[in-house]
Amino acid sequence: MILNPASMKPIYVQISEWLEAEILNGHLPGDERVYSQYQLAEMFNVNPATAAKGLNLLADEEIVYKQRGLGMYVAPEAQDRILAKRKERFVNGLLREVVSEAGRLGIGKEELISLIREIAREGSGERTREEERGKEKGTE
Amino acid sequence: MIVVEAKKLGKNYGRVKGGVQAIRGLSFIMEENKIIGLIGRNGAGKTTLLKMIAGYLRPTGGMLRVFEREPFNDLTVSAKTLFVDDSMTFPLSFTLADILREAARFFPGFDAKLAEALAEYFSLNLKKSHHHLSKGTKSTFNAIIGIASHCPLTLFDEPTSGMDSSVRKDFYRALLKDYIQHPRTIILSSHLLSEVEELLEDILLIHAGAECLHLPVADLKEYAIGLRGPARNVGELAQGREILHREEFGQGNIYLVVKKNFSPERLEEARTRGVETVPIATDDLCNYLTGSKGGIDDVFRRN
Amino acid sequence: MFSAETDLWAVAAKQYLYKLKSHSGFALGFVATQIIALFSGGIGGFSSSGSNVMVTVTRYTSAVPFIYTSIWIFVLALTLTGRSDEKKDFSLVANRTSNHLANIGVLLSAWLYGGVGTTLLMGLQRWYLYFSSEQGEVIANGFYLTGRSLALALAAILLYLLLLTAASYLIGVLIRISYLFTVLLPAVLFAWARLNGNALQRIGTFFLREPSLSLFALKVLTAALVLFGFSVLISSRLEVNG
Repeated sequence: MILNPASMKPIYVQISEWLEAEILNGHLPGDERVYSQYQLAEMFNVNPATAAKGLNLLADEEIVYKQRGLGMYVAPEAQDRILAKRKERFVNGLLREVVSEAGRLGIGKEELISLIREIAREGSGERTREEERGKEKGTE
Repeated sequence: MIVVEAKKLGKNYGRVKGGVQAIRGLSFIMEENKIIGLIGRNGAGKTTLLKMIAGYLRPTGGMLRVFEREPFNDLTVSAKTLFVDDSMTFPLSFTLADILREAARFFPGFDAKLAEALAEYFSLNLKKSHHHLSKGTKSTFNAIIGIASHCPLTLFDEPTSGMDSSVRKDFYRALLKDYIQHPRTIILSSHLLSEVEELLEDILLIHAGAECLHLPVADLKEYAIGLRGPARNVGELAQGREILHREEFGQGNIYLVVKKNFSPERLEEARTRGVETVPIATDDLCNYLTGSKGGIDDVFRRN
Repeated sequence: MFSAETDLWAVAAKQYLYKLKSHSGFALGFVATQIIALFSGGIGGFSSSGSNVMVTVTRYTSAVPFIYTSIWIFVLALTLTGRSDEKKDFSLVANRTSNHLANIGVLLSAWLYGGVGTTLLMGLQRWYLYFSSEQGEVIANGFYLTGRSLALALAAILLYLLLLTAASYLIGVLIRISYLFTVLLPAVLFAWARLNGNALQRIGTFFLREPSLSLFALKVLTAALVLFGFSVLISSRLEVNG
């Protein structure tokens, strides 16, 4: 597994985010055992203490829970918690940033909303076009 | 348990006045079974410190304990400590196989199978004599001894000098895998933090023989923050804080690196006034902490 | 807490074998020097020829192999105490004391090997002279060695060599402490001989003119012990650097 050392995110955060992704995409279902700090250390080529810190981050957010002597397990509500956390972070972080940057650029509230609508439409439009292209290729 | 403890440790070379002060007033503790990075520029005193820990050199001031003993000339410390650097030498008449056999006699934890497997992986000819090896190959072989000896305290002084980059990567991975199986205290010195960063648990940054920073490596990325923007607004935000680095650019713009202990609200407010926050790469942070404040630009400003 | 003291003698024994192995070349070197000694011939002589007769006299002495052996062991002592060896010794497990013990062990092994070898070679020298000078004559007192005189020769050689070995080791340690001693030692010895020749002579007489073998042995053993002990003492606080 390759981490991005140049990334400004600390490595343990990158590890916890990778675990979250594994939980979200269903590779680690509820009550399943999570990788140990040593397994993670080997997978990511990092110090076991760093891996442990990534796991503890998830434990603090109750995305995983500790079974004494057995290791860490995925909380049954892990997916919901991750989604809720990410949504909260998106609204408070990125979205706020967008609104304040729009303010600096003199983009009005209405204009911003219509811009977002347009982008959303484009995005879904692109997806359908791609799907069509895929179908065409398939039939060729 | 504490493996290495230093209090106001000092080391002068040369007895007369004007001798070199290689280490001055260094205090730290290193706990058992951690991989600790000893980071500093060339000439910062890394090798001197390691040689004192290994018991080769006698401190000239302060206190140093290794395994709760004074390490200098102590056989018990020597038996549990291995110092690996690129000037590690062995008798001329010994082949690499001989050396591995000797290491196994001296270190009870020596894993001969691992040593041989590593030597084979790195295509070392065990029938060759040690002093006929090239610099890089010698480093590789010494590193193998360092890994396979399983010494309770293993000191690597710039272990990868001369190794090519793929061997470097393999060495670090081998060290990590072996460490996971056989936890022990490892001190790894390097002038380049980014090369070893992921392997480390703690980092001890030294400069001119004194401590700059000693903390878990995970905290390093959040230790400092860069502030870029109009000089007045940046200056206001950074007021009363220690400035690690300062760069001027453009018209009335400034870039400052300061310790990161701002509240998120404070930063958010500054952002609205055109102050950009920039995360600091760990290598840069080390350079800022061990360099002159103005950096290389200062030289050109004066002339 | 942390485990118990490391056994000094166990480490010294390991180091002894390590050094013995790494300096095994010296055993061969000894044979080479002795062959040179054996065939290098006499130490001097003269020849004169009359009208009908020509006489060539060559003097041989048993001192030659002994001198070669002394030089050999002196070089070994200097090698063992040198900086380049020190780095190799401290690469694994060592402290000053264990290193000294191993060094002294190696030197004593060499001493025994060299002493016995020299004695045997002296016998060999006579044998070689006897058969190589068929047409000549060998003139010497006690040329034909008996078992008893061979044993006495062995004892004397071993004792002299022990003294030289211990002195060589001290010289090696002094030079390791400072290269200045390479100049200082001969200078001091020379000056002392000039100023106080008698004292030096008395020391010589004390060892060399001792008629009783057992007393001589006692003197040499004590002196060797003092020399080795002093070598260990003066270098105990020495740092390892190469």
